Amino acid sequence: MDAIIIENIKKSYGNKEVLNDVSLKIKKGEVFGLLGVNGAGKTTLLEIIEGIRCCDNGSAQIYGTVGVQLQSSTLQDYIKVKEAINLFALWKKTEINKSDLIKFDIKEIENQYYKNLSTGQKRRLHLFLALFTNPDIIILDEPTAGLDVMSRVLLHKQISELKSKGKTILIASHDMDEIKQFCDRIAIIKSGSVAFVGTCDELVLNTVQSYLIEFTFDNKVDLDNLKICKYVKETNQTYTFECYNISQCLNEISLLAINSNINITNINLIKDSLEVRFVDIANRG
Amino acid sequence: MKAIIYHTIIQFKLDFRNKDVIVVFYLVPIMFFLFMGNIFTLILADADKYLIQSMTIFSVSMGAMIGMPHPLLEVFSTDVKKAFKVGGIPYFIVVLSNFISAFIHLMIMSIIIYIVAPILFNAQIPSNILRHFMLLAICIVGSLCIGMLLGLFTKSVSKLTMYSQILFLPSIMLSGIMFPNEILPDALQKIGLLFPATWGYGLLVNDNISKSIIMIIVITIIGSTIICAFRLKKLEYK
Repeated sequence: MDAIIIENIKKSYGNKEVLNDVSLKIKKGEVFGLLGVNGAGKTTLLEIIEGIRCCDNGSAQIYGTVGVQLQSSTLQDYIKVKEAINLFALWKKTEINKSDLIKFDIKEIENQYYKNLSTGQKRRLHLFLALFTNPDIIILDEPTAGLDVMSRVLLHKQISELKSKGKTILIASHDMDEIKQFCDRIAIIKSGSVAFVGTCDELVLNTVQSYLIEFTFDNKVDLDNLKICKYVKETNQTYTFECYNISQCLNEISLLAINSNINITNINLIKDSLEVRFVDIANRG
Repeated sequence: MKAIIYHTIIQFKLDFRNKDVIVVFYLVPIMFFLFMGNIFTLILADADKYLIQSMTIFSVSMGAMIGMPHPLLEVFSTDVKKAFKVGGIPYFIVVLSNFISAFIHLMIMSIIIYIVAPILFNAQIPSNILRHFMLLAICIVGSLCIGMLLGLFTKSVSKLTMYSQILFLPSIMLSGIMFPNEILPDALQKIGLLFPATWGYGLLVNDNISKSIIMIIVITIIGSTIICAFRLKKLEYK
C-alpha cells in the first residue's frame, strides 16, 4: 500500500526547470531516501509534497497525517520554546506529552528564546514539532545538516524508533551513512529528474561497471600474461585487480596461481561504496 | 478561538521583547511627545488645544507605518511562514494577531498621551472622551491597514525602512500636526490628503465628523483587506 504517490511533477522557476516529470511511489512503513546534489530539486519536490509549493503539472497524493521538519525552518527570534510548542499544539489540537519533551531534550530549553538556541537545539525543536502529533508520514529535509555528534546520535535514535514503529519516513540527506543505515529504498534526483530508484544494494550492484578484487598469495606472482583482469596495485603480496566479470577473473587468477605453483591465501571482493555510485550517477552525462 | 487568542497574546509579548518594535511603538513617540509638547506649548498660542490629538496622530502614524510591518516581515519574508504553514497555522491569523497586538500598543500609547499631556503641558482634554477614542480607533485601524500592506509586500528590512519613511515623513509634515496645513501651498495640501495622518487628525480635531474622511478610511480598510487576502493566498500557494 502506498503512502505517497508522486505523479509527473513538473516545476519551473521562471525559465529554469527545477523538476521535470518526477514520479515516485513511497510505500507505507517504508523509509525512503531522497539523494541529489545541491540544486537538484530535492527540497522543491519535498515542499510540493508538503503543500508549501504548487507544481506546474502533476500531483502529489498523501495517504495519512504528515509531520514535517523543513530544511530551513525557523521561528520568530523572541518566541520562547514553550510558547512555540503551545502555539503549535493549540493549532494542531493536540496535547503535549511531557515525557516527549524530556526524550527530545527540550525540557531544559523550554524557557529560552528561539534566537538563543544552538543549531542542534533548533533542529530538535523542529523535529519535536513535526512529531508531537504522532503523524503517519514524516518528512525530514536534511535533518542532520550542521548538527554536532551528540545531536546527530539523538536524531538517529529518534529515526530508528520511528522506523521500528512502522512510520513512513521520507528523508532527504547528503549523509550517505544515514541513508544506508535507515533507508529501505532511495531515489537519486539529478537535474530535476529521477536518475535512480531502488535499494542501496541495488544502487551499488546494478550500476557497477567494474569490480575490484584483492588476492593475497603466499609468494610473488608474475602478472605478464593477464588477459581478463587488470592489475591495479600490490601491497605485501596482496594484489588488487580490476575486472568486469567476477567469475572470469577468479578463473584467470586461479589458473595463474596453479601454473605458478603458488597458493591463494585470501580473496576479497571490494564493492564500490554508495557514495562512489552516487557520485557516478550524479556526474554521468 | 483559544488558539487565536493565544496567538495574539504571544504576538503582543513578542512585540514587547523586540527592541526595534518597542522603540517605534513607545520610546520615540514618548520622547517626541515630551520634546515637541514642550516646544509647541511655548511657541504656539493655542497648542494646548490640539496637543493631545497631534501627538496621538504622530504616535499612531509611527507605530502603524514603521512598527507594525516589522513582525509581519519577520514572518512573511523568511522561512517562519513555511514553519507556520506546515504547523497548520493560517496566514490570516498571523496577520490578524499582529494587527490586534499593534492596535493595543497604539491604544496604550494614545492613553498615555491622553493622561500625561494635561499634567505636563496643561493640554486641553477632548470634550467627549468616548467620541475621541471611537474616532481614534477608526483612525488606528485605517493606519494599521497601510502598515499591514507594507509588511506583506516588502521583502527586506532596508526596503521596508525606505517605504515606511516615504509614507511616514510626508504624513507628519503635511497632515497639520506640526503646523497648520492652511499655510501650505494648495498642491501640498492636496497631497497631504493622501495620508492617513491627515484623515486621522481631521477626525480628532474637528467638531463635526467628516463623512468624506470616514468614507476614505472605510474604503482604505476594505481595499487593503481585499489586497491582503489576495497577497496571503499568493504566499500560501506560491
